[in-house]
Amino acid sequence: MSVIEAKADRCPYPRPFPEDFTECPAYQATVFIAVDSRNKPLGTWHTCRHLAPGSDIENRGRFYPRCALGDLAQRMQWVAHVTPERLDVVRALQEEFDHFSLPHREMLVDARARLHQQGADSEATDSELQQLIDAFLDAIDRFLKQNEARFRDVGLPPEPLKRLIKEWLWAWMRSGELATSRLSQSPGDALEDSVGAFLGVTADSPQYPARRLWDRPLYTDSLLRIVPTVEPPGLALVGDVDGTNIEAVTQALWSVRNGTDDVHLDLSGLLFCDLRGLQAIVRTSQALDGGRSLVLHGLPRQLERALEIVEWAPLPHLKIAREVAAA
Amino acid sequence: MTLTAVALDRFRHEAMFYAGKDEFLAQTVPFIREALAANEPVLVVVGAEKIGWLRAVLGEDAKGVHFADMASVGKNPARIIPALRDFVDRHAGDGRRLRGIGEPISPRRKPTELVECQRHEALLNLAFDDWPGFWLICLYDTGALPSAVIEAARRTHPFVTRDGTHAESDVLSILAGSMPPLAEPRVVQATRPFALSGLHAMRRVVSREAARVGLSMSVIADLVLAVNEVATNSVQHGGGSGILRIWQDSAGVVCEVRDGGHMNDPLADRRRPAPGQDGGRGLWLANQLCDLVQVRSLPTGTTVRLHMHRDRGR
Repeated sequence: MSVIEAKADRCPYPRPFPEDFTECPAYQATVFIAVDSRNKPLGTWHTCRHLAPGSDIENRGRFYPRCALGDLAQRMQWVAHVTPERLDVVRALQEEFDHFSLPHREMLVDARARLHQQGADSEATDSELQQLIDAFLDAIDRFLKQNEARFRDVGLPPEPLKRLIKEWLWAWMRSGELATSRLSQSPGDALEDSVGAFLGVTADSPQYPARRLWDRPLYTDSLLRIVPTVEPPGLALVGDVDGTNIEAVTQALWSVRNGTDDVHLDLSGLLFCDLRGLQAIVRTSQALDGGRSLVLHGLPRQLERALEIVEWAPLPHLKIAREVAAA
Repeated sequence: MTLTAVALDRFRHEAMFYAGKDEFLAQTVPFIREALAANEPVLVVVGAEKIGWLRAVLGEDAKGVHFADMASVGKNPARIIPALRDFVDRHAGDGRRLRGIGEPISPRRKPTELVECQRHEALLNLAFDDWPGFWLICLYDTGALPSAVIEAARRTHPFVTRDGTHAESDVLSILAGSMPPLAEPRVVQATRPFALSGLHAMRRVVSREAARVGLSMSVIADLVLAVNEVATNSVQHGGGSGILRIWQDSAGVVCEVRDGGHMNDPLADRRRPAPGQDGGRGLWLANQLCDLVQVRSLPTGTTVRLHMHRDRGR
């Protein structure tokens, strides 16, 4: 009997994903509309942008649902890097783009179908197509301009975005394939791919402030993993700290208070932390004796501000390390 | 006009009505000069333009006055009482008397903000109940504000001044508990019951809806943090669960958390937390992060609405 070890980058969640799936913090919903050979919709499926077919060589090359981001640790670090808010803003922009572009897309699909039916010698349809594309590009221009602040906020400069959408549009028009599911994909997917390109680049090389002993977690639940770190010694909190796991967080923090050196917290993987979580951190720093400090690494700027608002910063034994992230 | 003849045996919360720049100056300048002459610290929290008028008239004397811009101190009206409190705590002592001038209500206030300003005025009577030496004048521009606002001011202030005449006003009828009910939204984007285990899913809903309204990433993160604190209060003190509703209004997004609990302290959301105290910081944080927080607590339950504006002007 052979034990087949599950691949670390195997997607552990049940698929297809329910519409309001929130269990995986890295989940990036894409709606997939399957169509038959006559372009009649067969149904709507929710899948994840990061889901890719993986081939398991040790298991006779069998396919398995692979998470393109990697294993759990890599998924969590990716989300912490891009932040859940950024993902939501990008998602909202995609929705709005799909909504406003629908009439344009419908007209284009229609015109394109006629073009491919009539063959190459149909100049009327060709110029009609040209007009439709120009009108669509104008509309895209307006959309990008109107939402420029939001695009810039999430790190998507409108100019390269526009180029990508334009290229995608032309490629789609020229491609001869008619009756495939690709036809029902919207230019929103182009937007999404470009977002992926931008976000992917920055997320590729996570900077850990500390070496994490990922395989020896002190605590694990569906939201949070607390792992010991070495160099420097301390803890890493990866995921969400809230009322559901505050006791575990308090205990874990309490367990590292003894010693002779400063205690380090790697918070670069923190997706969310409520005030009770911050309080546990503050109380731990106050319990350190002998002039030792609790040093916070990778504290999100927002939480630093929250500490200041509730007057938990500055405190004598709580240090906020300012590491400049390597670009 | 003999301002000093007025007895100060209790906190004196007074509405002062004026119309136009001349009347504004005619009423405020003598009040400030008397404070300076009596060596009483005086704080003026009005709009930037009016601070300019006062500085011009007061000249050198302006140096002795503490000025603050209402646009930054009181954008969220729940931040005004803590600011006044800081002033009082810093300058009171040896039985010294203090004076203040504030103008929380301008015609530019949004309807929801106006309601909260009126609640703020009512709560002031409680907040400084224990400060007999504090004389606070709230300005109302009768030339610019609707008459209903002026009428409400008569009910929230124990004293009323017009044309230099001070008088005790009618009975206080708007107190914290008897505010008019909050207006129902027309369309609700999301409704979600939650308990402890559902806080995470609730946060995801808030973030998603806030993104759809067009808020920036950092503002979304602040809103999620604030709503989570209020919802955690529901889980801890409000019967273990609550209901979240989210909708858009003309200014931005509103997140409402309702539960079955009751807050006994009407000033709970505007008391600066003490450094050593455990808990009790959620509403404070929410008021500093959000543009407006509406708290209504009755024996039948508590409703908290957190507003985040699209156009934040800062």
